[in-house]
Amino acid sequence: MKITICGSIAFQDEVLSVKEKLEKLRHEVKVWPSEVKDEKGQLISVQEYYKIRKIAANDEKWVWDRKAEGVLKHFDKVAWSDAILVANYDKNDVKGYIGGNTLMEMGLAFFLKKKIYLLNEIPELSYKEEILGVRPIVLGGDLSKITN
Amino acid sequence: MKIFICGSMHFAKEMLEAQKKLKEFGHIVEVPCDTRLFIDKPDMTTDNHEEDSKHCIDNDIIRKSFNSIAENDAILVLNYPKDGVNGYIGASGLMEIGLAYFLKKKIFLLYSPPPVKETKYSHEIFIMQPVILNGDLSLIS
Repeated sequence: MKITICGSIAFQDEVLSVKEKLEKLRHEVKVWPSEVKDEKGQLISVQEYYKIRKIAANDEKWVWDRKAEGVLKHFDKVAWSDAILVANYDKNDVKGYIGGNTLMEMGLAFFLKKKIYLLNEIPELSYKEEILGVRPIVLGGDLSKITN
Repeated sequence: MKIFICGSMHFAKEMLEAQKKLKEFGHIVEVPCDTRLFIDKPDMTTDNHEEDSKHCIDNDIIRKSFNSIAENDAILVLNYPKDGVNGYIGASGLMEIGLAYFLKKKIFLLYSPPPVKETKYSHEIFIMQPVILNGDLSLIS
């Protein structure tokens, strides 16, 4: 199955490990790029970029331009896939956190009739009902539950 | 222009008012399929999350709204102040804006989205390049 992993780049290492496991299970997997261009056009790791973005001001144009490019490219990856896997690890004191960007990707996947898998439990967030509304399949951490 | 009105169903009455105004400007305007239901049953509220979730799932509300976005040229998000947040846009509105962007529809917001300090995903909303009307529906063209 063609799978696009969605989630926060804060979990880059975990996501790459999940990608590897899915590939061993014979899935074709896309994630976000591991590097992005900084202000001077030099490649930096997404972890480094994430650190910069976390403290960036609203007028740091290049930072938000990169985010915009990433969001839009990832939409195309969702469209390419048969299913998305939301890598929803604990974040901001929320178990199985899902952020706004990922929620948009889940909405798009739902519209395009893709399967939506959540790696971990559905988070207790103000928008839990919207998450439930796109009918995700909760894996409880077990990737072998992903089936054609 | 064919316009689909989105936003919290807390503003169902305002949706019908905006529909009427936009029709007067010559637009073809669709509102969410459950707009009339929210007006006719004042005890129905989006604040009762469990009841609202059941309503949305039982009636496939999210998919119906998404299909309406696909069938129109533009979306208009009625983001009136709610819960003390100016320019409130809920999670459904966020998903609708994302889909409209992917489908290359025009995105109109009645007001500016909330500041990022209050609503973190306002960054994502700005990325979708909405046209902000500052309350003036006549700016839709």
